[in-house]
Amino acid sequence: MGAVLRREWLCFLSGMGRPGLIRFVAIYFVVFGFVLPGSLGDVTAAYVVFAFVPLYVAGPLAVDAFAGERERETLETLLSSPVTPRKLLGGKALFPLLFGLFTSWSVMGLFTVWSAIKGWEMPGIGLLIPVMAGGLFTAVLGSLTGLHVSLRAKSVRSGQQWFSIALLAMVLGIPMFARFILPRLPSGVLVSVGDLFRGGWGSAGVLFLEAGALLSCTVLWLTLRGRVGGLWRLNAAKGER
Amino acid sequence: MSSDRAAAAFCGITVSYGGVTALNGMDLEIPGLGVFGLLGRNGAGKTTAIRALVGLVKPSAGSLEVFGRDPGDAGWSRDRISVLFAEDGLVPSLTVEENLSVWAGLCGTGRREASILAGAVLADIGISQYAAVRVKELSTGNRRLAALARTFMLPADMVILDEPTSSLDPVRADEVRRAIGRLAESRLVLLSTHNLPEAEELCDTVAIIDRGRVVISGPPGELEGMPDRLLVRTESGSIVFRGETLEPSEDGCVILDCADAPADVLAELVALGNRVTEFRTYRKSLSGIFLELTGGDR
Repeated sequence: MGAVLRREWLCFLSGMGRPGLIRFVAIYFVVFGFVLPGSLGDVTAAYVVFAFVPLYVAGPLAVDAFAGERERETLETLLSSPVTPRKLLGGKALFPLLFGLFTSWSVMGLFTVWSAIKGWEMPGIGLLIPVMAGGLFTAVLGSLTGLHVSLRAKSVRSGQQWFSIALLAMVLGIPMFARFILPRLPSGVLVSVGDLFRGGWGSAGVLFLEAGALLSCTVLWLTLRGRVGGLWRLNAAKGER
Repeated sequence: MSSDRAAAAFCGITVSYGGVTALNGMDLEIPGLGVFGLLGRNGAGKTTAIRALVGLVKPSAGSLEVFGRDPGDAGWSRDRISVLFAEDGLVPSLTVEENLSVWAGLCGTGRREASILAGAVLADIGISQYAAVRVKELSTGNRRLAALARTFMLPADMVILDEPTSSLDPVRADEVRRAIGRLAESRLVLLSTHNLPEAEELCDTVAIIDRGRVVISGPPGELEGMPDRLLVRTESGSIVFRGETLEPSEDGCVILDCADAPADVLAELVALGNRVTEFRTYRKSLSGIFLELTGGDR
């Protein structure tokens, strides 16, 4: 798996080039790292941003994983190497995940230092841990969703478009739910749901959310395993992989 | 691997893509050593046969063994085979050396060893000066040579080359052919091509496939079912033979399709008053055989 990871890293670095690196730093370290959280004026809201950064980093990277190979005409050669489906999928999933997490946590660290210098309110451990855990979840979600899109997409561009739609649905879905669905729910239901989260980390609500996250990631992973294994068999109808 | 044992055996292999049958009950044995040519027109099934060998396509009928195992088995390892597909498979944004190094990594070779092997194969092929150049900046010919370096870099029992000289100018194609000839000295190379002079130059054995079946196989000079003919040149050009006057072809000779012993035929020709200036057995070229066997309407 290490060899696949190294290959992904080298392809990412060489494919991005200097302009890409400048763009990346400008978007994630300046906009997501300082401008956006700094403008929110609330420490919790500012740090929640960092939990979503991996989704934006890992997803597009994962979209490139197979669609990019197809586009560069390197997929068949890669499949002819001795690398096993498990190692191939592991490396392809782990690279965007780790890079997404690295970006998120680095940006968060820099913002924390910046906050200390500016004398802004500092986050407590009770905020940092959920943000880091949330970041881990969005990194896994972004990576696995991106890989699913990548396996279907014929080109990186079409994959990016499909992933953007999925991302938009996820990003807009949460505030839309809060804005339109929540107020219509009976107050008794809201109170009951609220009660589930009493007790903080050990509450039934948090455990339920964790189980849901774990389940969704497991389902994504298992379906991916089947589909990556299928890469070694040509699409009988189209003569394509 | 011993040379007398077949490296791969296709037995009635059928592969279909939707409604198209790419391999149609193909029977073929690939020997354990030397250069084996897989010849056929576009769409004859050469690339599908290669994919089946590597386990990239599952046959719908028949059995296939590569080094004694079915390449479709879950535990089958591709580490004994190295393939160069028609697309070179190199990552354009990486340098030649990085491409070789990541490939070696995928094949389980450590970075230090990979670096040594990469340097050696690049020197052997004569493109060491391009080691640090990105693949996308290379010319088509040098890119092909870099892909060959990747394919021959690690020890493999079978090296498969799919149309290695297609899209190259004659000079570059010749360079690539010479490189293949050198690198193939000690291993089994499966060369898929429709370039017949190339096959004649490089291959010890060839198989011509048409419509997903092997139509003939053997050493290029001794393909079975293709009896030798006789080339006759006379002072007058035309010859009289068994009651017929045969006119010469554009190059001034007559080809006789005759099963009799050459010495008897020559004696008969002379007895009939032909003033023979050249008489020899005429072996049909691989191109001639190929066209005869695969040139029909599709």
